[in-house]
Amino acid sequence: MTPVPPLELTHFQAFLLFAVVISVAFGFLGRRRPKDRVKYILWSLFLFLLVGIGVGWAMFPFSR
Amino acid sequence: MNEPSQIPANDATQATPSTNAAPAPGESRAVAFGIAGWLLPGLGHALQRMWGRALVVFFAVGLLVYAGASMRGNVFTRQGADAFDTLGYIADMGTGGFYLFARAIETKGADVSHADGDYGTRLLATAGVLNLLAALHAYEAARGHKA
Repeated sequence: MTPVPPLELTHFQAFLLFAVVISVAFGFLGRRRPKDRVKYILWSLFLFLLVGIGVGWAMFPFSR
Repeated sequence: MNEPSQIPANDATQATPSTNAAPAPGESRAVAFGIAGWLLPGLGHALQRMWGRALVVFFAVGLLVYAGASMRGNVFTRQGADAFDTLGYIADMGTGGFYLFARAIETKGADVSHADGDYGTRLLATAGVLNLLAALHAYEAARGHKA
């Protein structure tokens, strides 16, 4: 197999990739109706971002 | 001290439903769907004609594996040095057939000396755990306990 070019993502891009993929997967696995899935995905994504950025800011004073 | 009473309060509590003694008819089928879902992400749902879930699981696990391996994350092998390596191996094996895909595309080996490689390791483990969750969901769905 031909080698794939290395993927370089910032911390935020990797975090966003994780949050989007997991939110969509959880939405489809956890809900059946399309409307419920969309609501679940958006809410889950919002919480991922809120908690991730919140924890990042909370750790900032101890980062150096 | 008095011994607790051994007499049941109600005879009906001793009655065991006959359905508990024998395995459910679709149990082996449900196990087969769960294993199929583990081996190829989404296959457990596809066999039950849950096409949307099958596609989402396939592409979600595939994307995480591709991203993790191309970021030069650590694809753990059976020869782990410590418990964390073993746990990582178990998580990576959760991706089923995609584990071989990850090994195939990560031709330069892992590089966790940079942040990208560390993120990649996490994405690979996430893919494995997500696929195990999806396989368990396929198993439960086959047993009639779907969400």
